[in-house]
Amino acid sequence: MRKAVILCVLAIFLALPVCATEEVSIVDTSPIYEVPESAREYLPEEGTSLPEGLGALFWQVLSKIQPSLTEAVGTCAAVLCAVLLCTVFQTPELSTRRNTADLVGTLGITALILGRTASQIGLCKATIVELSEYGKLLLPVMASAMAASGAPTTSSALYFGTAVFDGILMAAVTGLLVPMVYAHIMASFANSAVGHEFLQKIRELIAWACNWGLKLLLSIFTGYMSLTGVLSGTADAAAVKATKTTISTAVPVIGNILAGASDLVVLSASAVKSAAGVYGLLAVLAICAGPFCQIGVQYLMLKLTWALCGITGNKRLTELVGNFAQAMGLLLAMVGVCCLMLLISLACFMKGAGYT
Amino acid sequence: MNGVKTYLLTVTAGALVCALVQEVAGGKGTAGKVLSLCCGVFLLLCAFSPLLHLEVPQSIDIWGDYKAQANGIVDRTSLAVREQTSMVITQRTEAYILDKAQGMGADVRVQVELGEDGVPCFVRLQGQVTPFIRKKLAWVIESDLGIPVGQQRWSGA
Repeated sequence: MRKAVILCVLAIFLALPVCATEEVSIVDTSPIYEVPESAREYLPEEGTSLPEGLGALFWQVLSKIQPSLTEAVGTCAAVLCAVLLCTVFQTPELSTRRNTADLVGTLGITALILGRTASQIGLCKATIVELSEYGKLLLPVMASAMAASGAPTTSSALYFGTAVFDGILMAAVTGLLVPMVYAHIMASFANSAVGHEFLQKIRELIAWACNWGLKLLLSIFTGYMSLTGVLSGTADAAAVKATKTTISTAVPVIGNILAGASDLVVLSASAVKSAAGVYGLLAVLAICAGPFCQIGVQYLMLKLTWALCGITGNKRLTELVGNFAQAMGLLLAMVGVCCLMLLISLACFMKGAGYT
Repeated sequence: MNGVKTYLLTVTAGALVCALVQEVAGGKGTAGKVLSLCCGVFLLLCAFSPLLHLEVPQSIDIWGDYKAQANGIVDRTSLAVREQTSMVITQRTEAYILDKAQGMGADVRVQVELGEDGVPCFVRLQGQVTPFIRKKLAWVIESDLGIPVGQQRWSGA
């Protein structure tokens, strides 16, 4: 009994005082949860860490790849059969029969692949538009959180750069690159039907221009974001140092209060920035994962078909299949560049110079 | 961007037309060579004539909207940060004064005001306290918080 009483008295002394944690709310993060419907099925549950979220996203994408794969295999099998048939009906002696077989083969292969290609082009455009629209919701939240974390200059510069490059990419994709993909397909078809070298050069020029344009845009964007972080970070660090100097010259007690209040606001904003950044990363990947895999599967299957068509020895039709695969590759590159720009931007916001 | 798209499509279409014409009507004789020459001139015109009429604008301000958006976000956030920081400073200063007053056995109500620099500069106290405790509290507020006695207002409960 005596031991129980002593334990109760000790328990009272060991009870820790409850401290209510202060929370400040500066940044409204609600816009980042407006993820497009098509991406919600790929998005992990809220509160998941980045590694777990990436893992869940990966398995979710794999589980949904089956229908695209089946469809791509069907199309490519039909294309391979068409090439084989055309090769069978060709004879080296009669050039008329050879040309007719090639022309019929070209028409048949184009008819088989063109429908799928057109839907993939539409999917590419829709994905890029969705990424751009989501970026318009996400980036102001990240910019606001970064500015509240003590890096207003960097935040403004990063937001400006991302918005400008996003605008340029959107205009380039919808106004130039997608029409160029159609022109590429047109030139491939005409080259295969007619067999003129000049059309091949035009097709190669279009493919080169698309690839070069995307690479140039991504390189300039990456360079700008890297330099901005360094240059603007210096200005923000100088401002933070000036603020700390001012606080340190104040009366000790009031100095502690000022420093504590500032730290609380900055740390709250940093926590929001990290959480919103992780969610944004997962959301961006969820938006482009499905379409990227669909186009990627089509691209890989066409490449495989191109390799298999090489066995037949029909150079013209094999080249046509290869050109359609290249068109898919261009679409893949566009989606990939758009997604990568948004991811780089998010990483810069999350990493950017701040108070701490 | 529309101009570039139109230009590229024009060149591509011109190439297609020339290829088709050469395939249909071309040959290895003199006629074929003349036709090739004509197609080549046609393609040259398609490729280079728009460039001859190209007008480079003197100045473009396409960045204005983006700059304004970025500055708007930063300005709104800076205002929110200042408001939140002021609120926390006010709450903590009032809590400090209340804590000191309770330590002296006084029951007071406190209201702190901040200056433009965000530092507490005025305090309003309300409560029934002895002159000794009032003087002691005023000294603590002046020495710890830097608010001079002249900026401290007392009123009865």
